[in-house]
Amino acid sequence: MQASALETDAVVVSRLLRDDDRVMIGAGLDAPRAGALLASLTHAPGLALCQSLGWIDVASLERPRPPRLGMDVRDAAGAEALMLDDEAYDDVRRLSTFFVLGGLEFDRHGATNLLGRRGPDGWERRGPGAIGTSSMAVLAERTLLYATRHTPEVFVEACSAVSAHGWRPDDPLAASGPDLCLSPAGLFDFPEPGRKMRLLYTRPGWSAAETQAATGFPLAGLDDATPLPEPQAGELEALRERVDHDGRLR
Amino acid sequence: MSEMLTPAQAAARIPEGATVGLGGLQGNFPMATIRALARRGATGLTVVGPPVGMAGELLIAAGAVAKLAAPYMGAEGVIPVAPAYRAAVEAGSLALWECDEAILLQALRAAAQDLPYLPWRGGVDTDLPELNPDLRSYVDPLSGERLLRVPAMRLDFALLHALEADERGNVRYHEHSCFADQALARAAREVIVEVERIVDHELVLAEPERTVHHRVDVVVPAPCGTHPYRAAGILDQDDEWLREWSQGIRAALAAGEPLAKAEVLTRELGPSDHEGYLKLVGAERLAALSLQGLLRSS
Repeated sequence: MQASALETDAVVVSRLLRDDDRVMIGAGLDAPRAGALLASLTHAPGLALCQSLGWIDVASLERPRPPRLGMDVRDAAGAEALMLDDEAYDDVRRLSTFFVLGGLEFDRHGATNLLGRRGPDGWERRGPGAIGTSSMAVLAERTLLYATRHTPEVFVEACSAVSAHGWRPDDPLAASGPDLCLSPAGLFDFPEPGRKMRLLYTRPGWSAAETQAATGFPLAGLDDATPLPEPQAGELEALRERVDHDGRLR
Repeated sequence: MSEMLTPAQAAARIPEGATVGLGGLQGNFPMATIRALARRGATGLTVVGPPVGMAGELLIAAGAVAKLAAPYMGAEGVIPVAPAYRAAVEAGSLALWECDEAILLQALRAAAQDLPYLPWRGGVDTDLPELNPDLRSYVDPLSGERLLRVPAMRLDFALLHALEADERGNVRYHEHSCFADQALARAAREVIVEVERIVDHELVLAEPERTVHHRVDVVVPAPCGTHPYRAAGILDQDDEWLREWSQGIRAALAAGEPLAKAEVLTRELGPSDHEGYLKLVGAERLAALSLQGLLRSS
């Protein structure tokens, strides 16, 4: 079985998750959400997934809902607890151990932009807004950046506007930045001491040189990157049969 | 005692330039009163809310909004970014108070507690303080940590939609559907709540633990008042109506037409009142969206 790029995204996210994780995923990010469902059904049955303000015990469901909107109350089936929106941030130490956020732009230190692109006279292309990312990037224990495109316009030297912070290694008062970044080109991390984006794994169709050419800043790790391990047959089978019922990720 | 008003009467209480918090999140948007507000030709409003979606979008398209404080503007999987909002921001005709969900909630909480500000950790080292001059980062003198000073967001009105209320203005929701409405109500000088139905005071007395808002200022009976959004426990979301809205606004923008004349806006505001709007939507369509079978049986 050959995995699609989105199916591979789901498997990558699944492998990053642990049995004791409390997972929150940005709205509209279907593949990472499928990854959390897959993890619950394979190696992490204790995982709790926040879906539509409900904490879902996915493993208890015979047939989890296919990933769809993520912030739609129709997706909250199987919740063992519900959050009120204005209480969600009152228990920040237990809020989330793993958070996935998307962005219009990402910089070399993992800062992200959901606000839009600014020009000299104001907003040239307005985005949806910060949603919950400015705070969740600080409050979650681990953070994965998720990009649906890898181009120099998305991976930029400096974000036009920063809505969620990245690493600031020279600033002793700065909070921790993101752990990893997954894009169509590869999987990246932000190693010490400089906390600059490093290519860890390349993906099918993308060489390290091509990834660099599609990135608006110098990447570390180009010579050492290896191919991303492919999804195993069992993972793909579980994903297709138990999560992605309608084949949206294929 | 709470006042019982129609959507138009409730909208008439909201003066030009008022700061209005819109309740709802994945539904429960007070669309009947919002439509009445737009129909009246309101202007200069500051609209505040957790994701306000088409509720704010309709007011923006109608030219009613001068400033917006909302962490997200769209309708999730149906409309990723609200088109009238995007166009107004890019044209410079809509001012923004940039925030994320938690920062906005902290601002409302400061208002509810009548404090000038509250500290918050999120948003530090972002561009939000640069974009909002009143949102400042500072080094906390006790912890030495860099934090954000979030100013109070005081609302003139909270405009909400709930399941039911009694004549005294005691408001109840379907199950767990009040989202951030309490935060908005506590930050507001006056609370206006649309409801699906009026219930006897005796029922409220028998279940006081279900009262979410105690004696609000105004109750607005508006069954299916959230359409095209979900009314928790009553009505499902009308995805097709939302898509038509988005397509209609985008088409008007592409043609360079004034949004006030966009066909989808005139569809929203054409009927003279909420009853007329429901007739426009049609009983069959509403019945298909019914979550309880109540509409089907009536």
